[in-house]
Formats: sequence, structure tokens, C-alpha cells
Amino acid sequence: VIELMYFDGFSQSKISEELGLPLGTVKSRTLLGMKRLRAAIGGLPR
Amino acid sequence: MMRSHERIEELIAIRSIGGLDPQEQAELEGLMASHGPDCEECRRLEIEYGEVAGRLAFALDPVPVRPGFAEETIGLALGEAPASGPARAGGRWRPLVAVAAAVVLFVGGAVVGAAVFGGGAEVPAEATVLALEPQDPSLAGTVTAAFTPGEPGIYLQGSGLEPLPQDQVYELWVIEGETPAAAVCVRPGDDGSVFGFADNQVTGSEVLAVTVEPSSCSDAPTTPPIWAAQVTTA
Repeated sequence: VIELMYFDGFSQSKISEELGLPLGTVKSRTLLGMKRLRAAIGGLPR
Repeated sequence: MMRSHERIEELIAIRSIGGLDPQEQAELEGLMASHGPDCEECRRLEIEYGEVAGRLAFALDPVPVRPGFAEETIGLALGEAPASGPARAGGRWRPLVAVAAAVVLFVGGAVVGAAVFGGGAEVPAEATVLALEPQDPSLAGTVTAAFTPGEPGIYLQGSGLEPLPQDQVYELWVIEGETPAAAVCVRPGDDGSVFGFADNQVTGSEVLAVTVEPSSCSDAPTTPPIWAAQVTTA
């Protein structure tokens, strides 16, 4: 979902359609992925 | 009373990669307004998710470019008149404009940066990635700069930016004290993304700022910064 949203510019609704997922699942997966990335980057030197 | 930032984090995370719909954008603006401009946690979330978005952009694998792109970019670097898009005359500045989000070409003086950063779009882990802060809360999009302090080369990445008229560009500045040094001019693509590279060096005490300038690019800012961040390497 992050790839489709960020790199392809798809809206959440469009991603929901494309992947056949409920909109709420798109939102929750996006948030989960971003939280994981934020946590991973938090471990890198600034 | 401790205020919850759970919903704000959700919305900021999705906004940082350009996924908010208008209703959610309005909701986020309302929540941010209710927390006030001094909300440190709100600011921290914006900066950290901006950094995530910036690193995502820089982590792209290179993709093939359209025929003639390399020649046009080299022409820009040499100060030749472009068919379209921004350019700066003279040898000191070698702006690279983004035409594909995943593409980075290194030309002329920017070769120094290529060596430093390894010649690809991937920013090394030791690089500093700085999310520039919007100077107006209603400003759309995110802008991130990546650099290694003390070494030449600044990568500029933006997403979800407002389109500009044909005669304007976004210009990045490296400001030390009262002296702004022009870095690179970029124009958003249809998807609001920008990617640029400048051979300026950031040492650690500068301010990075982005202004809107004429498409010929300016030697000094002619408008107030719309994104800015203080560089700190501590």
C-alpha cells in the first residue's frame, strides 16, 4: 500500500479497489508500515 | 492534561506519503489547530514521518530514462538553454531537474557528490536526512534534504507539492548566517514530486530553505521561505 500510495500516487480508495481490500485495511496497513519504517529509521544515526 | 496524538499520528503518517483525502486533511488541520503551534509532539511526528518519506524516496532503484534525457540534463549542467524547465547559467551551479522520481544523474561538479554518496539514489545510513518544516501550516506536501555534513552534495526530495506556474520553480538555499547560497531549482512533476541534487556543502550550522523563484532561478531569494530547517549535526 505504501508503494502504491507514495510511488504511484494512488488514493486510499483507489488502492482499496486495486487490491480488493476494505478501505480500513488499507489505512491500517499504511499506518503499520509507516510506523515500522519510522521505528527502523529511528535506529539510524542522525 | 495529556492530549492524545494517536489520530494525529495516523493522519501525519499517511499525509507524509501523499495519501490523505481532503476530509482527512481537514481533520488533521483541525486537530493540529486544537493542539496549537507549540505542540512539540505534533512537530516531532511531522519531522519523523517526513524523514521516513524522504528516505523512501531516496531508496528507489534507478529506472531507465526516456531517450535524450541524459543529453538534455548535461545541457542544463553546462548552462545551455533547456527546451523546458529550470536552468541556471554559469559553471558554479549545476542544477539537476527531476523528470522521473527514481532517476538521479550526476553531471559535472555533481560527480563529487556521486562519489561521496556512491553514485545512486540511495542515501547512506550515515547521511543526515532533514525534513524541512512548512512555514505555513496549510502548505501541501513534504520536503526533505539529505546530506553528509562536511562533504559536498545535497539531495532534495519533495512529494505532494503544489504545482507551480510555468514561469516559477522551487529553489533550495543553504543559508549560513545572513548569506544565502543558491543550491538547486526544481519544478514539481504532475504527481507533485521533485528530486534534485546540488553540490553545495553543509557543515552543520546552516539553515536550509526553499523559496518560490522565477524559472530562471535567482542568485538571492526574492520571496520568503516556504519550507525551512535548521541544520544540526549534534
